[in-house]
Amino acid sequence: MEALVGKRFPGGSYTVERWENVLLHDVVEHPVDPTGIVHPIGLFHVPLAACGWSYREIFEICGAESDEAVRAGEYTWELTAPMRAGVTYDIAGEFVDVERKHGRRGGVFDKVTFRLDLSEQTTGALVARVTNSWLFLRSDP
Amino acid sequence: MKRDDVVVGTLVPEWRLAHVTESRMRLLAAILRDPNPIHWDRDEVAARGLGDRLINQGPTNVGYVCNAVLAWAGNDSLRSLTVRFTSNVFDGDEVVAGGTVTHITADGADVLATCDVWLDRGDGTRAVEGVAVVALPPELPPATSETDSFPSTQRSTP
Repeated sequence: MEALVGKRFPGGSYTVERWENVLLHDVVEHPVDPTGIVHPIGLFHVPLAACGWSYREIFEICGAESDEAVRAGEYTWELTAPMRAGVTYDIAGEFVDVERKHGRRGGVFDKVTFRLDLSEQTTGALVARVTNSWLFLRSDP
Repeated sequence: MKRDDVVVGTLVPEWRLAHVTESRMRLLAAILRDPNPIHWDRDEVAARGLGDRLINQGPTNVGYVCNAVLAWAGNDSLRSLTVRFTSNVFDGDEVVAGGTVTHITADGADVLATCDVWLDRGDGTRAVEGVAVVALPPELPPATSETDSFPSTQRSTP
């Protein structure tokens, strides 16, 4: 698993369309921003939708024993500017850490941390950095 | 209130939702093309031993926390957010999100407030906890001096 560290995602690009942003605001019951700012909830799915791998592929890369053997860990977002609807962002990133841990309830698991950067495609300006930790439960470590 | 009135201990005004609804879980599942049935199939939730109510998506729960921050400091105010999930939220649950300022710093022209933030279910169970860094605008809505009693039946935001 340690060999994962430094492995880069294929990357891709994503544009949150206006309709998508309106519906995201509906989901969380927050008024739509009139200037087109995307609700921060978009930072959950936009980087992953355009990282170049599907959830299934990430699970396989990390050796998930099943879908049920994956847990959400910690999520960190750092923003230099809000995302905006209609703007295309390039996504790039890599795995940054793997840590074997022993939980009180879940037994042995690997905490896999990866980082994805969102940059505005036209300017290259970094807009957000997302660092996610997913926990992969191990029944036979 | 003015930005200068924000101090360590100032509370982020609470954001409340009287009922988490099944329809919005289905909507997010469709937007994300999320095939996980725990968000739209009660029988599957029961079959997995997870109870008899649909389970709200984690991103939505964090979205509620964001709502509290955005309603307080503006839609462009969030500079960073670190969260972890501590419990599920189910359809029909009442939820309340809020926070407390723990640190204030200047960053160039920005004044940044670091806040402990959270989302609780109506029964008091903490569902999300974390830390947000928020750029404070010159003027903010009135902050509360102490946490409102809970539960409530009304949302506090538009």
